[in-house]
Amino acid sequence: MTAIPVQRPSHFRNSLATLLRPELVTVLLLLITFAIGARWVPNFLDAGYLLDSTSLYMEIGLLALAMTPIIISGQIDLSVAGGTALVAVAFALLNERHVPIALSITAALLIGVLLGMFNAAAITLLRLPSLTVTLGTMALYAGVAKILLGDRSLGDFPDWFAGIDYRHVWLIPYPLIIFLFFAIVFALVLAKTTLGRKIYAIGISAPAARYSGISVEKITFLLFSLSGLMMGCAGLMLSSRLGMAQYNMATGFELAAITAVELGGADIFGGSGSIVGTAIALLLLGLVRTEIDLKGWQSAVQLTVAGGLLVLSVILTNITGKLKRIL
Amino acid sequence: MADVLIAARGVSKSFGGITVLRDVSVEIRAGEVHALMGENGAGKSTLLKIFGGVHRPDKGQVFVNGKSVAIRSPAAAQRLGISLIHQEPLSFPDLDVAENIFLAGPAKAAARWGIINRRKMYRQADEVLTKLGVSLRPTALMRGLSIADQQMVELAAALHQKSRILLMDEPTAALTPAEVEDLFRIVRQLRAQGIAIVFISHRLEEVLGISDRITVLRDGQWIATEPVAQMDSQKLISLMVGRPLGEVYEKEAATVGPALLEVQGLSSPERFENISLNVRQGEIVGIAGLVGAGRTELAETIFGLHPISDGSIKMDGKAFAPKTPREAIAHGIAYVPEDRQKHGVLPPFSIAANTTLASLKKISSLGWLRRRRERETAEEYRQMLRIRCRDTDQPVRQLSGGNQQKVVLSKWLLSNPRVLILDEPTRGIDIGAKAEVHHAVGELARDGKGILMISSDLPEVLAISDRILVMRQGRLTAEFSRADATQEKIMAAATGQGANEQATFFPSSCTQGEGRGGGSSEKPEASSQQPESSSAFSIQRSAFSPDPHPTPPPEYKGRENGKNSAFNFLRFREFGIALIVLVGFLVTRFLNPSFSWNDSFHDVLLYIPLILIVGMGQMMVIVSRNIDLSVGSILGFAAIVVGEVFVAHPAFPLWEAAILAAAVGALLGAANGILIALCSVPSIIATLGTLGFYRGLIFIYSGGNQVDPDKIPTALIRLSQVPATLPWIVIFAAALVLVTYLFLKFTRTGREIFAIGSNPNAAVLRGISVRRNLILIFAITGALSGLAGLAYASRFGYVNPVRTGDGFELIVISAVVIGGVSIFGGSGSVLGVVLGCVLLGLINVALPALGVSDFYQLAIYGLAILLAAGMDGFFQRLRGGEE
Repeated sequence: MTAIPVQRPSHFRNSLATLLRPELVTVLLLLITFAIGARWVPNFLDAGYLLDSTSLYMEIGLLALAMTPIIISGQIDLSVAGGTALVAVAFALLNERHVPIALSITAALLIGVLLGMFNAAAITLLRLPSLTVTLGTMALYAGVAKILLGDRSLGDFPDWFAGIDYRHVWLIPYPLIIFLFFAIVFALVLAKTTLGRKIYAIGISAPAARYSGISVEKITFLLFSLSGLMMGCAGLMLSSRLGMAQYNMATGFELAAITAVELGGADIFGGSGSIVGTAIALLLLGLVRTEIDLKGWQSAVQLTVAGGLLVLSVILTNITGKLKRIL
Repeated sequence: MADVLIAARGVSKSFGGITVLRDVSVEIRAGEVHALMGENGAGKSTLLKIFGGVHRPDKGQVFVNGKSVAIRSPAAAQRLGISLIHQEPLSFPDLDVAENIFLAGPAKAAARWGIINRRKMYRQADEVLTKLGVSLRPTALMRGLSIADQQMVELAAALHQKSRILLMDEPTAALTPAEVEDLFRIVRQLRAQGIAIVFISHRLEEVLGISDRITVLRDGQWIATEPVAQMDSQKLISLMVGRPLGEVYEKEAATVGPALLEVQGLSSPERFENISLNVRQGEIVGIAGLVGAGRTELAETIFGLHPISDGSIKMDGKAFAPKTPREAIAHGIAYVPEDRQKHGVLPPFSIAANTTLASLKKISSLGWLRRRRERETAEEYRQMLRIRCRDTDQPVRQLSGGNQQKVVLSKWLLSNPRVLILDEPTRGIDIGAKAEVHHAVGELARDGKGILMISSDLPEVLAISDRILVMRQGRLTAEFSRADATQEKIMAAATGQGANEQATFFPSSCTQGEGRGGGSSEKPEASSQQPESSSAFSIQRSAFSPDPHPTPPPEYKGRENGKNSAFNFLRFREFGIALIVLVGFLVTRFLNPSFSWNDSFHDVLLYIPLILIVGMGQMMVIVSRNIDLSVGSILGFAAIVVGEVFVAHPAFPLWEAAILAAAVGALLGAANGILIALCSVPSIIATLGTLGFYRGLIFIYSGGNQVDPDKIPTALIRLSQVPATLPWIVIFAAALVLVTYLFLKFTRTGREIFAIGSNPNAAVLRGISVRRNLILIFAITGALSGLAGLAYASRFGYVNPVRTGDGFELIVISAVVIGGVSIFGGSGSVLGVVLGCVLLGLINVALPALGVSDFYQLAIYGLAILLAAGMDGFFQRLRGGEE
């Protein structure tokens, strides 16, 4: 049998095509934001301050990590904020009843996983759209937290638990370390394992994945359960940082997490996206927030900037996508 | 000579570097049926799509009525009197027959100034259908109609538009012989009216029977155009193929081993019944039959995709009942699916990733991908199957159909199956690749694999099968050995013609299905009325001859009973919610006698209109298969703008304030619409972005200051108060509901919104201006949100930049979802949304009246959404609407 000649593309074209990844736009926006901060925002280039400011959005970061594979697989989880609040409230209540803290933490994580599994069961076993299911559980989880705690806030955590954002390894605060740990795990799983490959396959076409022998339901179940685990972690981190729990403490986190994933180059219809992109987008959103804080502007301005960036990045990604197809 | 209606001169077209049409010139005359013939990939469909405005030629010109025209869109084609009927009917399943006829194309008599006269529409639809001789109720829902009926509706639409040029892409591929005859009766009728009909078909006898002229294309080039009188099937084939037949791959005699796959009496409800067959080592078993005979369903069931209701499957003598493809693969079965694009490949994935997808274990250790091993494996199969590509990192999307099919084959070869099921393995791939696929399949059989091959390509089935089974309407009707089989016998068994002869072809092993399978409703036709063609492509003419007493064979997948079920379902659902509201109200009243219209209900009355005003807009957005998350921010923005105006001019007239609020909202909403329709940002992302963007703008605009109660004019507050009469805000909401109802039901735009949500692709291809409609409904939703902002200020007496409208989008979406609007678009009712809003409002006031803490409210909202979603899912499955 004669070998089929391989047509080599030009090197230039090839590397250009690799460069035009969906994350490209995010990286460029990050560089611009950083440059703006360095040039016009006083005290911006203070490493300690910059690192500490990350603690403000690491809970959102954890939720965004689990949201990334969910969106890649073509689904969505709107319940993460409600779940995070419910975990935090449950933890605070256990703590109030003098349950040993190690047990409370375990229970909190377990509750998170169970909340995720509830979503997962409704989506995979009853075959309901994730958008409606998690819209319902978004209200349900926050609602149960409200039933449990009413509109009061509950704290009184032991000293070693509270104030996670004040603890550092060298200059790096604990929340950032926890985030980085999970980010690396998620990134490796998505990029380097058969599970990651299957998640992308499901997102491109769930029927085609099923026809190739991939258990679409099992993997979907796993992803929503993982999202539950991240709700558990985020709930604990948030109650430690704020030193209390409240039913509406995570309000808006679901939209913030989705914004990070989308800004990171993921396709809302599934099939593409990456943890690196999500992490960069998170950093970008954080930097914007820090710059606006340092400038002394109203914090709401960042909403405008974040929303604008999101829309802009999608438009720019559309354009690079077209460029890539031409190449 | 008749006028030339449409012509192509020197038209060329290529896709991604592959030339599909090369310098093609064709003229189509008035009053002729013009057949386009050619093998798969010859460029027939592309030419049709260029005429129909779907594609634009790279080079060359299209002339309509002698004038050179650029047909930029399907809508533009329709304005020129050109209707394209696609291979798969483009219908809007959630709309009824009459609407499907009237929506596409330019507005005609039934609508004046965009307002549909429904009675007139149904009457005209009835007229058009009667003229076509089709017995369809104009009020029947499209969902659940057979493909033939859907085609008739499209024909009726073309007729209604007074199209002069009718383009039909393989209209007969999925029809039964009786349906084909029906279609041709209409085609002849249209031809007599001077309409030009261009059609594509692979069935030679059909083409020779109906056309006036035939154009043959080969490899994208024009080969010949001749009157049918100067054509015969022999000549046609040689023109199409460009070489003598006989070059097709001929399988060598097989050395057949023991049975690998044994299927005994297998049935799957609504798919097929009582199928018995076996596939032995080294054997290629072909399954022939018409489209819709249940062949694909049989293969998919063996592959674990459909439930088995009866019978058994054995692999290597061991029984197994696969529930998922995964199990089937584990038992050594592989399936190359019919729909390559949808089920076979992942187009954006590389060749390597596609090749290894079903055997990831082989290229990984402990779940860890080994890229080098993956690349080497893929390279090995690339060489083996001679896949033409840059390298194995190239996305499969960029390959030709034939090479894509080879990637699918390599995926399954890598999984090392013992039985390989091929479903239309060479559909849509060029001759060279076809021969290579045949060759590869032959080699697999020689290596001792069992092959089950479904194919509608009879020469292919005859050339490479050792045994041939024939299916018809879900049953096995014949089995032939290689030596016995001829095209005529196979077609007879596949169409149910010549049922008497059939029995003689039956070998002993596979006759179970016969007793019930012999179509008693059709009578055996003498096939002698036409001279037998000796061509390899020929099929019995009798299958297409007019039947004096047309008794269409019963549709196997009988879905007649599904007609109008969605309507009933929505009514039923609305009734259910209304019942819950009523019972909830009465129970609350019973438990707490002081709960009455007078005090608590007045609170509901003031809470509901806010949700309702925005809900009407959100409903339209969701019906169009979109979502608007920014309504809360738009509400807040409009409220603050109006509030600031009141701060500056305390005597600002209210109605001007209302116009201002609506205008501000409409502007922001239109911005959403432009992002979505023109910049193609998905609505969920665009409005997620503007949710934050607009909210931030509120702060920048207001400087973060609240508009305090003393600044809101009392006239505005009074709108939300009720001494004796209904509050104005309620009257306004009620009027809005009525207007929305009328708008959605009686205007063209209203119905188009449903059409877009029901089938977005069809909406574009049938010439509905999707972009204009989307911008319009987002602007309307914005305007309504703006008005709701004013109502909010009236209701609560202050405007706060943070709180006003925050989270409102989710309440509104919840109400719409509870109201039964499908999140997948296309269906929903105004009444349902009203009831959804009322239910949320009732929960809001009933809880305190019952002495339940209002802390429970949020959780109960959540439960209500889950319950509504669960019920919808349940009923959808009952209706068999699984995707």
